[in-house]
Amino acid sequence: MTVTRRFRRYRVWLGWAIGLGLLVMLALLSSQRDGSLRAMQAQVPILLNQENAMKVAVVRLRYGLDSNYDLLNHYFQVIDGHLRVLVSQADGQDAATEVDEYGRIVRREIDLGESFKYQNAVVRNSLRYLQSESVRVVDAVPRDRAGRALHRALNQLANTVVLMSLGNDASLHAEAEAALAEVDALRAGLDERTRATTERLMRHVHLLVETLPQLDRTTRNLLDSGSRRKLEAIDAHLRQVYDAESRRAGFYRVILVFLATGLFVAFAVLAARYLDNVRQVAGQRRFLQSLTDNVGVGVVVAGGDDRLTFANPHAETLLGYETGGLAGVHLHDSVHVGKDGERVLCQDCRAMATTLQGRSFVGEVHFRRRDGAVIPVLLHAATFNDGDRQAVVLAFQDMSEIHEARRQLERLAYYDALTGLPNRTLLQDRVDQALAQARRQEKAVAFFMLDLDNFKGVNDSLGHAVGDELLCQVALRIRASLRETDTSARLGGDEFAVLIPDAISAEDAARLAGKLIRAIGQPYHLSGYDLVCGVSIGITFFPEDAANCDQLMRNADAAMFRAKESGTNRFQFYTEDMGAGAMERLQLESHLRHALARGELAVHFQPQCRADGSVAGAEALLRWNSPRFGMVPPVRFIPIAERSGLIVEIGEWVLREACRQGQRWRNGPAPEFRVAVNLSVAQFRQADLVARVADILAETGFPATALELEITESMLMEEVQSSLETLASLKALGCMLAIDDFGTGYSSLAYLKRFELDVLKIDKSFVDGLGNDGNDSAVVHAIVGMARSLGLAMVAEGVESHDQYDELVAFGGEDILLQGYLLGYPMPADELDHRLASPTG
Amino acid sequence: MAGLTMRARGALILTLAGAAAGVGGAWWWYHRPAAGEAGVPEPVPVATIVDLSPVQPLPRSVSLDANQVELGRRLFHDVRLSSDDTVSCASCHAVDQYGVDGRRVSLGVRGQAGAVNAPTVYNSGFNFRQFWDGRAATLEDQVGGPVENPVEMASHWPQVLAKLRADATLQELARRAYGRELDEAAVRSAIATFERGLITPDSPFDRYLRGELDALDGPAKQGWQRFRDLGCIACHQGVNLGGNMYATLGAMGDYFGGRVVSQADYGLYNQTGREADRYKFKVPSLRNVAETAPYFHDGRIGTLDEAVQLMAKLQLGLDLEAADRATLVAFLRSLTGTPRGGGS
Repeated sequence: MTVTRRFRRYRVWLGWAIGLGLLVMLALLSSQRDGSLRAMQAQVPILLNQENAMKVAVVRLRYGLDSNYDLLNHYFQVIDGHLRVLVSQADGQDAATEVDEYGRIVRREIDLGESFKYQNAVVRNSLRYLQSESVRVVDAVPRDRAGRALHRALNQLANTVVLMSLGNDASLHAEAEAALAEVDALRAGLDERTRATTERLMRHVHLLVETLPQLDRTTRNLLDSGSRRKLEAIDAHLRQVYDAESRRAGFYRVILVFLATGLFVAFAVLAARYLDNVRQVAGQRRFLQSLTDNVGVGVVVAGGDDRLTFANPHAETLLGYETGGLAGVHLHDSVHVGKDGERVLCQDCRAMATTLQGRSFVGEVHFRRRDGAVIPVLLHAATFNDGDRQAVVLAFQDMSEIHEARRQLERLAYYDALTGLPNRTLLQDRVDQALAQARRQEKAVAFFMLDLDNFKGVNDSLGHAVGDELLCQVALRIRASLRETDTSARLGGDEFAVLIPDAISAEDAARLAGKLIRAIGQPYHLSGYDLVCGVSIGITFFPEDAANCDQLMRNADAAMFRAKESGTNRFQFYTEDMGAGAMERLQLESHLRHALARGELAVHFQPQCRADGSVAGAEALLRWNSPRFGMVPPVRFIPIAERSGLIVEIGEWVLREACRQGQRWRNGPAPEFRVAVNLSVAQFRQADLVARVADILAETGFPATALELEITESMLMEEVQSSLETLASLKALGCMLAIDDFGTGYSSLAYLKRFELDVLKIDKSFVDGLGNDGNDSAVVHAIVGMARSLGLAMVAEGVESHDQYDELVAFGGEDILLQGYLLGYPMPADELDHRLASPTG
Repeated sequence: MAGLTMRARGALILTLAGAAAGVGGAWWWYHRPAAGEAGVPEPVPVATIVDLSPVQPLPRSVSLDANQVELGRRLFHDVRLSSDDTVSCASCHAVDQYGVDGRRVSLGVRGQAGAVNAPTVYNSGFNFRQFWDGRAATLEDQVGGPVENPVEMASHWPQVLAKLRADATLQELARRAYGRELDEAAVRSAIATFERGLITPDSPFDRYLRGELDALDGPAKQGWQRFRDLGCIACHQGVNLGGNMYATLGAMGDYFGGRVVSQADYGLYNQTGREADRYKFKVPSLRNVAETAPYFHDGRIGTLDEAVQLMAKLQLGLDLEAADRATLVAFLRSLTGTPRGGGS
């Protein structure tokens, strides 16, 4: 870390240290350095005392109050001792000079003291001897004149000396000297012996005269040593210094107090902030702890050594470790693995590489749980700074469920919910893939479009649950009929598709179509119902019939339509002409929806004539004059109507119109007029068909017996039971029932009897052959015979030539009605009016 | 302390410690003893000297540090203080001979003759100075004199200490007495302390002063009176009957008349250089004088009688009669006390 950074980091502590240092420094500064001062000041009074005492002792000794020098010595010793102390204390101070001066005074005092002691001793002794010797001399010296003069002089001298001893006086000293001279002179005149007597006295006197002034001087000097003055000066000086020191210390003390207060406040603030910080940090830590504990993703942190330093509870749970179990775990040894659980090396790890480059990584990786299971996880990894190291934080989510959901969604997106077969979307994708491959490999692809016949009827009559079950069964059967590589799909409703991605021949396609039809055609037993189901299949090939998926499907659809038109359980290969048909069909359908409302539909009547040519009745035929398409042949739009369910509404309208017209004619020119109306499968399957018919009959007033409802063979053959019931109900109304296309389908003769039909319509295909084909004649003959014997009425369709007419008449006679272009084209009602008006024509 | 990081805890402790140290240091600084106070021995307080009569009896005992006394006793008798390990303090101041060697002048190393008569070591603690010329203010100062005197011990302190320090017993005693290794100051102090313990209390005269009136016989009492009347007491006063002032030898007569004067004879003059101090000597103590012959600084006076005679003549100008002298001598004999403090 650079110096400035480090400084900033510790600046608070640095400031504190400085503050503390200042504090200590000020504390030292503000402490009065008066230890020595006070010690020195303490010496002064002691010294003053001792000096006084010493001087008193001197005086006492001088005047003989004491004669023991021990005390004086003691004082000098004490003074000297305290002086030494004072000197050592004063060393280096500014009072040292004065203390030195005082020291000199003391030394002088001691010196004087020594002199004093001796001089005093001498004087005291000599004074004593003065007295005793004076007495002796008085006795010794004769009282002659010389003697008396001597006595006088000695007296004088003695007195002077005594006076001198009491107090020094310069004049006295002079007097003493003079007296001494006089005495010496007088002594000279004495005899040897006498003189000798005075010898001692004179010696003492001399000593006294000599010593007394010395003693006085010594005493005075001792007493006036100036020690007091000096000591007081020292004291004053010390006091001064002390005051200055006090002031200085006081000054620093004030600063100290401020600084201390400041520091204390700063400390308090810092402490408060610190505690706050601590609390905050604790709060943050709790928050973060709570956060990491409760966040819904696993969070782990890996250090530079790839070992985990942190893991939150969710991570532990996800990876199947116990609390704290992830600590120190090696990320790439134990956790991050490949898709199949293989080891991923740290340096190979893409996630780590990205992260360490400073970018964050988001992606799906695989983690290994503790028990070895490998789970997919959505990982987010990023680096961050952990102190001064780099660490990586990994946040991950278990993707297993999402994967599962995704799969399910996929399934839903691509598979039909009900049957489990691929749906249109998937099918298209597969078709595209197959086509692409076929293009590349120059192969062919076959596509089947399957449409269940009459499924709507099942749904309507038996309910959606059964319908759904049927669809599932159909789906199973379709799948079962195919190979693994083939795709079967449900396009919606009752539409299925099959994709054969390999090249197959038309024969094989036909065979497969037949197989499918047979499989689907097998009876079903669903929820207690027995039913059969038919299917129409359209087949297209790539590349022959289509270039892309869309075309393929459309053309297959067209082919399927054609198949459906042709009948049930048929397959049809696509041919060119169907192509346009599909599109047209769609258009037709949409136009047809509005045709009825727009009045584009019309009911034409084709007369049914007796042998003599008179009109017995007419078949009501639906005609559509579309502004767009012109006259649309019924063969084209009827299937469309039937597919789309429009037929119900249209059929009803046709029925009503036919009954109305019929009644008009019955009320008019032809009281016996009968009307034949075609019923579509859809209508037949209607649950309330009978009620509607009854309503229409009631509404128009047309008698039921005059109404002939034509149904086809195939209609009957499907759903036998319900057909029977419906027919029975219609019969109960009084309607006539006619079977159309008789002989052309898979009908059973037994059923004829069962269904209580009234009329049998001989199919055009048989009539065509009359006059030409001996077989057809035989058939017709047979049919006529059968009908006659069964008591059925007959109608021959498609009579177009006289030969046919003749033959039919020959066969049927009065019982057969003839219908065809020879007898009359389908015509509008007003045209038939004309025809009826002129009976022969 | 919870919630503080390791670093913060350390910092806090350091701060408090530093503050405590600072405060403690400041307090110590403030209260430290003033320079020069320690180490200076306190002189005897005035209160102990209550009796101001010319003479006082000796105190019966002196309270001294036993360790120091023991060390001092050993050193006092230790010949290693001399250069050739032949002479100790006791050689000239034998504690069983009233602190003297009985010679005119002492003999130093190699039998060299000294300059002056050895004064008694007993009661020397009551003298105001040491040596005849008073050049040593204290007993401690006096110790170095003989050690370094070429005619006495002729040694040097380093030499002496080297020898003494090799002695483990002395080192141990020094440690016990002074809490440090043996050094010059310790040697001086120990010897001086030992010497201060050498007293001779309970002389007949002291007993007399203490109230035992029949401690002195007739002649001694007479002598005591004469001592005062004649004025001997003018100089020989105080607790030691002397030893507290300087006086000229030959105030009224000439002691040295005729003979060659040595350096030592100049006395105090050797210290001060003043004419008035020529032939001035410290007045010697008269205690135990009967046992400390010969007398005077040069040791030329052999008997008390002679000493008394000379003193009277020189200092007082008197010719004393024999009878007078006898009483004075009787008095002087009564000053002999019981030696104490010399044994181990």
